[in-house]
Formats: sequence, C-alpha cells, structure tokens
Amino acid sequence: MNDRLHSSCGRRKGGALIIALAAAIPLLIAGGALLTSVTQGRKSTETSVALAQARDVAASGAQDALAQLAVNPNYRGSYQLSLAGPVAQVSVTAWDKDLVDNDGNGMVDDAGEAPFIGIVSSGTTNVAFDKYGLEIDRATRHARSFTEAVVQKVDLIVPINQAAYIDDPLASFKFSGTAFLINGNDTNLDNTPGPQAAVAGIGTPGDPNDIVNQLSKAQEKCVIGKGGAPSVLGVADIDMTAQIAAMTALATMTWNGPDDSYGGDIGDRTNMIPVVAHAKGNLNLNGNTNGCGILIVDGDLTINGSFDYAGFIYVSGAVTFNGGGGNKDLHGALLTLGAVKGTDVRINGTVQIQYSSQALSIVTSQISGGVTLVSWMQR
Amino acid sequence: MSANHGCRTLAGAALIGALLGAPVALADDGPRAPVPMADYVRFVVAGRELSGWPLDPTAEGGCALLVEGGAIEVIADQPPPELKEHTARPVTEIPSPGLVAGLAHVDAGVRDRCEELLVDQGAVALPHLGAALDDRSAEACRRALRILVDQAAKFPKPAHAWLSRVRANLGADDELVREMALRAYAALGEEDVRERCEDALFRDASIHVRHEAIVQLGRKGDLRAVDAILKHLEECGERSLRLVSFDALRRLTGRRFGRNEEQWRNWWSNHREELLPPSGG
Repeated sequence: MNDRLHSSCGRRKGGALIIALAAAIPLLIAGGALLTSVTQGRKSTETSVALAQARDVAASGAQDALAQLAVNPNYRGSYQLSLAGPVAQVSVTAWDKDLVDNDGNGMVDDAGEAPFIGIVSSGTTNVAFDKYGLEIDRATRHARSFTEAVVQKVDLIVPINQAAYIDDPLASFKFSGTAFLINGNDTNLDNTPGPQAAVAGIGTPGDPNDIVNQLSKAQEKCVIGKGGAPSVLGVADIDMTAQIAAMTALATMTWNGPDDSYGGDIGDRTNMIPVVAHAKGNLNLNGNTNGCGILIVDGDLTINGSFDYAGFIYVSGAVTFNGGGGNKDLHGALLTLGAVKGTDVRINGTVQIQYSSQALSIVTSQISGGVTLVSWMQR
Repeated sequence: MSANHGCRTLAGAALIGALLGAPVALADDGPRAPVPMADYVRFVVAGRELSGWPLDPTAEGGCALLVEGGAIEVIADQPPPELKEHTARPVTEIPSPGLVAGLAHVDAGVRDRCEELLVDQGAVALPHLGAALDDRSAEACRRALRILVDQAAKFPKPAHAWLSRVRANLGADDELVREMALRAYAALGEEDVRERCEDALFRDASIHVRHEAIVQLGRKGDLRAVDAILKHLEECGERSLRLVSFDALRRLTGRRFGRNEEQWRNWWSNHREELLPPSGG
C-alpha cells in the first residue's frame, strides 16, 4: 500500500519537473530574444550616433574651410580638424589646378574652372589617424561621412570707362530741361577732384552719334568728361549679362516680385558700407533712398523722390529719373541696357550721374576678395 | 558819347542776360495744373520796336526772337538793343504756328526751343502741327511726331486727329521720320500696331525703324509678337537689334532668360500653345 503510494508520489514529482522545464524553455528563449534585441538596438543606436557625429564633423570641416576662405581667399591645402573625438580631414583645392575636368567640358583645368574652389571634408568617428592623415586604427563602432562644397571666387574687377554706360547705342533718350549732369570727370565723394583721368560722360559700344543727336543744343553742356561736351564716346563692349550673373550671387538684399517698390537704405551710405542688392523685376524707388554698393535690377529702374547712392547700378531694362522729390545723385557708375517707352533715360529735376573712382574703389575693395557658395552636398 | 555807349551796352547786356537765363517759370493757377510760363521781351533796336519771345540768344548772327506776328527774326548784337520790358507770360499766348514753323529753322537752338514750347503748350499746340507733319523738312516732321508721342497720352483726342498724317509718315523717305512715325502710331494706340510693327520689322531696311518696331512690340503686351521677334532673331546679327529683342521678350513674357536665344526658343516652343489664344495660332 505504502509502496504504491510512494510510487505514485514520485511519478507526480517527475511530471511537475517536466512541466516546469517545459514552461522555462519559452521564457529562456524570450529572454534571449529580448537580450539580443536590446543589444542590437544599442548597437544600432551607437552606429547612428557615430554616423551623426561623422556627418556633423564633416559639415563642420567644410564650414571651417569656408571660414578660412572668407579670411584668406587664396588659401589652398589640407588639414585635420578635431572636435573632441570626431575628426574631419579637410582639403581645399582650386579647380584649375587639380588635374580634373571638374566642369565636364572635356578640358582639364581650363579657364572656365578658374573661379571655382572645391572643398572636400571627410568626417570620421572612432577612427585614429597618424600625423599624415593616414588611418591607423578604427574601433568596432566607427563611421564616415563626406561633405563636398564648391565655392566661387569673387574677383570684382570692373573697368569703368564712362559715368553712364548705354549697352544699346540705338536706345532712345528723353532728357527734359538742363537741370542734369552726366559727368565723366573723376570726383571724390566730397566733390573734390578725384585722382583718375576723365572718362566719357556717356559711353556706348557703337556709334555714339545716335545718342548725341538726341541731346538738344542746350543739353550738350550737361554731358561732360573726356573729349569735352557733349562727352558721348564709343567704348568697349561690357558683358553686362556676365557681370550681373556674377554679382547677383553676392546679393544679400533682394526683391523677388515682378514690380517692387522700396524706400529706405540700400547699404550704409553714411559709413560707406556696401551691400549687393538685386531686384528680379522692375524696381521703383520712392521717398528718400540712400545707399552704397551694387544695385542690380533685372527689369526697369524708376527713381522717384530723393536718391543718394555710391557705387554701381546695373539695369537690364531702362532707367527713369522722375522729377521732383529732391536731388538724385549717383557717385560711381550707371550701366544700363537703355530701352523704355521711347524715353529710356528720362531726367527731370536735379540729377547727377557722377563718375567717382573713390566710391567705386571703396565698394569693390569691400565686396571683392570673398567667396560665394555654389553647391553643398553631404553623403 | 562814351556814357551813352556804355548805357546802351549795359541795356544790351541786360537783354542778352535776360534771354540767356530764359527760365520757364510755373504759374500757380489755383487748383488746375500750373501753366508753364515763358520769357517775353520788348525792346528797341536801331530805332525799331520789337516784342516777342526769345528762342535762342546764341543763334548765329544774334538772338532769335519769335515776334508777335509769328515770324522768327534774328536780332543782331550790334547795335545793342534797348530793353523796355521783360516779363513772363503763359506759353499758351505764344503763336503756335510760329513755333511749328520754327521746327524747321536753320538754327538747332531755335528748333529745340520751339519744340520745348510746343510741348509746354500742350493741347493748344496740337491742332497746328499739321504744317510740320507735311513739311519737306524731315527734321520738322520728326520733331512734330515726337511732340505727338509726348502728348498722345495726355491729350488723346487732339493728338488722334493727326492719325492719317502719322500713318502717311510710316512710309516717309527719311528713316528717322519713319522711326518716329512708328513710335507715334503706337502712342496713338491703334489696334493694328502689332501688324504695323511686324511689317516694318520684316520689310524696312532701316535698322532704326526695325529697332523701334521691336521696342514697340515689346511694350504692347501682345504675346503674338513673340513669334515675329524670334523669327527676326534667326537671321539678325545686329547687336542692338538682338539686345532690344531680348528685352522685348522679357517684357512680353516676364521670363528672364537674358540673352540666351536658345533658352528663349525652347521655352516658347514649350509654352506657346498654352499662352497664345487659339486665334493667335
């Protein structure tokens, strides 16, 4: 009896053990899977963090190169930038000296590549380099990212041979009265004589007679400069399209509409701190407008009210100076296509377009020498 | 004798000085637009009294004066004239036919001043322009047309009265007259301006006329002109015409392809059908 009872009890214990073991196996599997998942998640996170750090340091390296070029536009070379762990290998190369056909036109290091500089920044995390930039060790969790940028040098060399350049020699003009002056005699901002030789009052790349014939006898004395009055001379063709294209990239002040109006400062005329301003359509200047720098207008420029500007004005359409509202003075140079409603440069009231090598020199020296970003790629 | 001579010289100098200044003042005429004023002088020279409006104090032979009767006389500096009166009078008092006749004067300063005064006279002058529009002098005709261009928007009705003369001048012998006639025709706002301009663009040999045709096509806002401008560009090597063509395309379309003919052509071929009304096809 006891033996049967004992035997029955032993079988029950064996069964419970099997049941316990059977129940533990899924738990162990689940635990293992959970552990694997956590481990992989951590690994993935660490990889992501490393990659993000690599991207950040690559971008920082390229930005550092941009900063270097801003200070010294002639800087070329390679260097290592360490940011408390992650490291960027940065190289700055002139396109016209890298033995590569960068612009894909079939010619290596041709003149078209000359204005461009390539920046390549390779950012790495958990990779050790020697002093020559060669990789000597890398941890299990390491990452690499590249930032490639292209910048363009700004060489603002604009030869000026006239106070007002009229690109179209057949442009029609409407000069009202004699209260205007287009002066090619170099004059400083304080109205003292400037250091340069006189240039033409109006210059055009063609027969100047079509412009001369539109001046009345009394107005001939209002266009002075090289060659006497009226100082309207044939000059070398200026590629306005190319100059405008190069300068618009530098614009920090823009009007994007087809027909914009503005009144206020365009740069700091008082302290001669220039800005490049770009209107992508017509621009109407109203009220008091003072400025310094380069004003580019893709359409027509109409100036109402008072106007005092030092620097270059490029107009792809026509220029209209409307009378009244105060003096309109430009110290520098005006470059215009010269075509609008049959009256391309309408001058009423007191208007002075005054060649000033001083004003142009101040503007070009402050704006040129820098670089502008053309493209930025991260991978 | 010496004192008398000095006095006369002084009077003459005063007259010349007054004439040289010749400012056009604006008289405040209440709420209406101010009427431009012009110098009026009365003086005695060689025992003869003359009065009128000085036109050009530096004309060849002396000072050109539009006298009351409407003729233009050149008053010699010697003997010096004795100035009796120097006032400013409204330009509308000046006989317009005399000014119109002055548009063909041999002295450029006289022609300039007559044109200025006719513009200042506004609607008053317009009915008298016919003589100049028919004048054998291309210079007078061109200046009269230019006055019409200036005044057409302000005084459309009296300006429009000369439409037939303007149209006739589109076929004038002188290229500068044809150029100005085309501009005036556009200013008068005729409906067939585009057709006239296109006709001039392809038929007129004058670069000035073709230039003006392109300018006007660009300003009229009629996109049908794009076809004509692009067609003309195909065989156009004249720098000025090409420049003004690209400007006209920009004005018509609002696009900015600069001076890149290929881009203009590609864009137009892609958008022509959607932008042109069916009748324009």
